[in-house]
Amino acid sequence: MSSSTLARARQLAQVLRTFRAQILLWLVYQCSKLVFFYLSRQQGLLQGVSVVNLGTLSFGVWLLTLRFAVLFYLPFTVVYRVAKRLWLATPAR
Amino acid sequence: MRVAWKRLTVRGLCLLLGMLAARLFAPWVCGRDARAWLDGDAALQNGLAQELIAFEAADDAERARTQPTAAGDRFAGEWALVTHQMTAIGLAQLGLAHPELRTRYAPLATQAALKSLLPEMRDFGTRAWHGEDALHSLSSNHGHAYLAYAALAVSMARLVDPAFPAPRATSHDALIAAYERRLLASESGLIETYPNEAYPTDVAAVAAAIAVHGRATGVNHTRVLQHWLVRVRTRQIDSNSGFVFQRMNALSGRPHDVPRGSGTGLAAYYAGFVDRGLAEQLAQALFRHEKSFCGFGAIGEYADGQSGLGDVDSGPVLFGVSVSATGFALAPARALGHRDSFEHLYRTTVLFGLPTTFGKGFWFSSGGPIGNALLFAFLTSGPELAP
Repeated sequence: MSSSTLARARQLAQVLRTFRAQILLWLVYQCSKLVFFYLSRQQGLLQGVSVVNLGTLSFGVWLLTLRFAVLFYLPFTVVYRVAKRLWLATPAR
Repeated sequence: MRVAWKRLTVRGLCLLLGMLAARLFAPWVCGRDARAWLDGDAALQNGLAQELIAFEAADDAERARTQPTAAGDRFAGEWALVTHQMTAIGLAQLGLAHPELRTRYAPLATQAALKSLLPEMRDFGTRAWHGEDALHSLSSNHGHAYLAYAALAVSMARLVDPAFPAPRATSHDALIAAYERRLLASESGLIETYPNEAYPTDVAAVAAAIAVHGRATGVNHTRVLQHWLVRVRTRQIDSNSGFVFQRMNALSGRPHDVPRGSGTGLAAYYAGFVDRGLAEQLAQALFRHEKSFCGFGAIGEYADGQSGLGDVDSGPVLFGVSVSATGFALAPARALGHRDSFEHLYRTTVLFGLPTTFGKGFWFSSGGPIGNALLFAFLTSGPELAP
């Protein structure tokens, strides 16, 4: 592996470390979305009886909170931090 | 000091950029499919159709395995009926929009429509009328308007399915004739859903069932439909808000509830089966009560000066807007070409509906079967409009 590749990998790792909270949030959201999808598909309306499990409903509320965070907070924080990093990277004189 | 000010200004600009990113990102993500739904994207439409067909098959298998039982309460019963009804209507609308798919979807529309008429599906209404079954009391003057939802689904199935079973068509003809007689006899243009309860939205479903029956069979229903249209315009619409009254007295025609967005949204969809002008009038009232924020739109449940927390018809009312009114308004928005409103409402639907695509399937995770069946009918609406 050449030294330039290693340097790039190190740089990438550093960037990932900077955004580790955001990446974690996104991963938790994706996993929760998958779980909720399967949970919600197992319930529903069979034999004319509507079945909604309270646990699934609570999980849905948790997922919606995560969804709001991913859709609104995530782009805000990523753009804010990247812009700040770029503008304030060189010492202001 | 100058350095501190410069850093502060840069931070402020970064903050603004971040807020701009949030403002653009969320509506973009939630609205990506809006235009595809508007333009009748086959992949999306078939994706949702396939999942509802799979649900109906699972429901059939479950019903074959165990003894079918009626729903425990009225609302569960209504939800069951509406799930099969809207699935049937959505499939029929796809059949009308894409004639090449009609042979595939028409028999499935028929199955779902006939299921919505089963005794265990209409049991909640039979109990409300103290044991009087709607299909066994056609000579009665009682309204039984709740069954118009199923009657409309059957009308739509008959419109697209040339192989619709003849004996079921005969009993459907009799039900439509009973509705026609009851509606013509009503001076208020209302018939009761349950004893002493009449809902203009349910009567709009009655009119829609009659109108589509006419298109499917060639029977002329102009007189009863004109009778209904005149009374909706003169007695059932609130002149200030443009909304229809949620609940009224069928005999006196007096409102028993305020005019509301949820009832108007569904009435606008059903009115489209009968008369485009009335559907447009109700849609205009809905969009006058649209509230927008950051590219997301929702429909207010109550007119100016009125408020409430909502009920089983509207779902929860938050910040004055209701889940049902917002979802229902998608149908007239798409059918009547209100593209901007459709996009705003669709974004909100996606924000809370959590759609998931997997393979060729498409499903709103938080909707359950009834939510997906309703959205299927609304997101494919348009072909059902009266000529």
